[in-house]
Amino acid sequence: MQYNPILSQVESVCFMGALAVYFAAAALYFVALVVKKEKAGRGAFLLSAVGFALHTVCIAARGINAGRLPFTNQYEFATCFAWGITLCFLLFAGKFHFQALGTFVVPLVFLVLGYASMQSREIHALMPALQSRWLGFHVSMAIISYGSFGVAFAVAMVLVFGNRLKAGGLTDRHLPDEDTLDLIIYRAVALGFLFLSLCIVTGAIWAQKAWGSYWSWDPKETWSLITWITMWASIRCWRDFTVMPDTSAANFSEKGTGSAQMWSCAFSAGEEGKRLSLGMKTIKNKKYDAP
Amino acid sequence: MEEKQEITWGQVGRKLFGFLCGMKCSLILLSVILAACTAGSVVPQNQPQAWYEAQYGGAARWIMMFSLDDVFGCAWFGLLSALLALNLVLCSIVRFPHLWKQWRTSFSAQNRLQRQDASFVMELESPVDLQALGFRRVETVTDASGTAVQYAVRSRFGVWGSWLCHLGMLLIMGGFALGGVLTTEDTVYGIPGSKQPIGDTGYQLSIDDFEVTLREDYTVEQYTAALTVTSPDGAVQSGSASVNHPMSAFGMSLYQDSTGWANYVDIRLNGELVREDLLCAGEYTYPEELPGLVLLFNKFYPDLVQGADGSLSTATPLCSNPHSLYTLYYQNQMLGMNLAEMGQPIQVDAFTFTMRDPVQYTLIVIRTDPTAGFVGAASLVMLLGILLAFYFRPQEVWTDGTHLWGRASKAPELLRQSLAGKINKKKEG
Repeated sequence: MQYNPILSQVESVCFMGALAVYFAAAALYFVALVVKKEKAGRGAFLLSAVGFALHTVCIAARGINAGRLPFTNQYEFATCFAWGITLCFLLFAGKFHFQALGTFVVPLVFLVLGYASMQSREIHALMPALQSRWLGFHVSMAIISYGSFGVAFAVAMVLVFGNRLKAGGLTDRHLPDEDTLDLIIYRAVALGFLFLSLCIVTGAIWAQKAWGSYWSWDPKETWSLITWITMWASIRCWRDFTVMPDTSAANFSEKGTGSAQMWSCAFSAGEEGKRLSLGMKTIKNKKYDAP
Repeated sequence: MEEKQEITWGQVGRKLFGFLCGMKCSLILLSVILAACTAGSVVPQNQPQAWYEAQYGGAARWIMMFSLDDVFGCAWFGLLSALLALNLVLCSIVRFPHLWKQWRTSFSAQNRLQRQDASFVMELESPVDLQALGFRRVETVTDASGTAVQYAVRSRFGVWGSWLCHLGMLLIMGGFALGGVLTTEDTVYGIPGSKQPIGDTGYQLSIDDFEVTLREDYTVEQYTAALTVTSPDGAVQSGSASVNHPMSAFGMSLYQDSTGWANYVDIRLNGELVREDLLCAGEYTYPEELPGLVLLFNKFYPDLVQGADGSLSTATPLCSNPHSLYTLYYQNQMLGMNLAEMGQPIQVDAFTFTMRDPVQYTLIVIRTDPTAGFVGAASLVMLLGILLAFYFRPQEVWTDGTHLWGRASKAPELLRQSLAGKINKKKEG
């Protein structure tokens, strides 16, 4: 198939541009963290937004050139996955006025995009099994879901390393308190969970259309179910202690919440789990007198 | 003595019931199911025992003992799923009255004034209109001191979110289990022009045509089979099935599943044709006169290319240099393996094998799953539950004109910030 060389060039330039800008943003965030300069932090956030714009143009050029949604190989999916993380980061940073979140998110985006840069960028026409309108729905859901989980992971890192970050003026002003961080993780995991559910349901509909079986326990399906159950269990622990405060389930979830939160957001240390759990108790007990 | 025993059994029963209803039980079950799923995705499933012995050596014994070769179809996985379903049923039943009461009576001004359990309070410079803050139905009551208090609630239905999510999961599990019993699946493969029965249903499937559409670079664009289904009473339904576009006939769905090459094999004894067979890759034939002599058709290369290292591949999917790879056996001993061009005679004593007329066959999967729609609807219930649970949580506000109180089970701080923002905006406006 013949592809438009100008669009290929645009895609390539924007991809490398986004990679370079994300690297610069990550470096600037690091500088902001070390020298505790507010301007560096603001510049890093701005660079992240510029990187996101280039990233979006790159994906759009790829999609137009291929004549389909660019979701079908490792390069395309990794590029879109990184885009999803950045999108969720910008949304959450905007909603919660938490630009410093980029300190942990942008390096993650850079790494994922770096991985994409090592994959083949050749454009292939779709194989018959992928020629379905469900491809777009299914993969879009996955991108937003994984992006949200990526943000939740980054915020969990902020919580883990929060004590060290709080030592300086910049982070004192820009890092939300633990309750807010906890809330951001909850929101990000909830968004990710909703979209993961949609991703699994649309995937099942597609499988039914293509092969006549909406669930066949293949490793990909099984691992998406494992992820879904893990998230469901952790969110259930998280939610239920406020929904049912007087039951034994509530007591259990209160004890288990710290570890469940770590489980869902991954990679947190044991000591921090207790702290997260305490953080949530604070929210629960924060009551005021009514007249 | 007997009375004491009765109490003990009652206590045990209550404890067991409490455990089965509780989250501790569901978390334990989910953890075991997760471990089972992990094992089921790491250990290749449904292979013969000899395969596991070759791959895993002594560990194969444990794999077979714990049915790790068929995790998702074994009895203990079914039991775990049934226990999880029971846990969900009991949990849903136990929670229902609490949620019903909460939904019917909890969200009221009287209740809030009595309980005094606001999540936050804000001092107001001037009275606010709760409708302007995004709350629709505003109720006015008088508190104990005679002050008029305005109260409003939104997203009240959100209390059902978690319950609906459980219900959806339960229905999905039930539908999936029922589907395992009610689903029928048959496969038919053949070349254009062939007609075969669909399992023991009494229906016949004719493969009228089969086309592989290629792009300029020889990648496959689509596989399309033209099919006709004939019912036992002679009724006929025709259509086409391609990948992602199944055909429906007589309540069955017909899927274009896979394809491959077949070729005819003629067997001659002293020059006289004694047998003619159509073989797909992996199939074999033999002369009736000497059943111990077997020709196995291994693989077909439509456009054979032989690498410098002797490796075989096909340059294009077009039939421009067709060759077949075959193996000959006599009395279970391998005589040899070789490539043959179409029409090239393969001589074994008085017998001559000749391969000719390669043709692509198609494999059609015929399924009926009466529960698929039900499971789809159950998924929607579950998604609705998730949406309500996370994004439509009940939020309550009430004000006496000087203070504004708010209550939200999750993220009350976000509600406080949102209300403060709206009040400030109104003030500035």
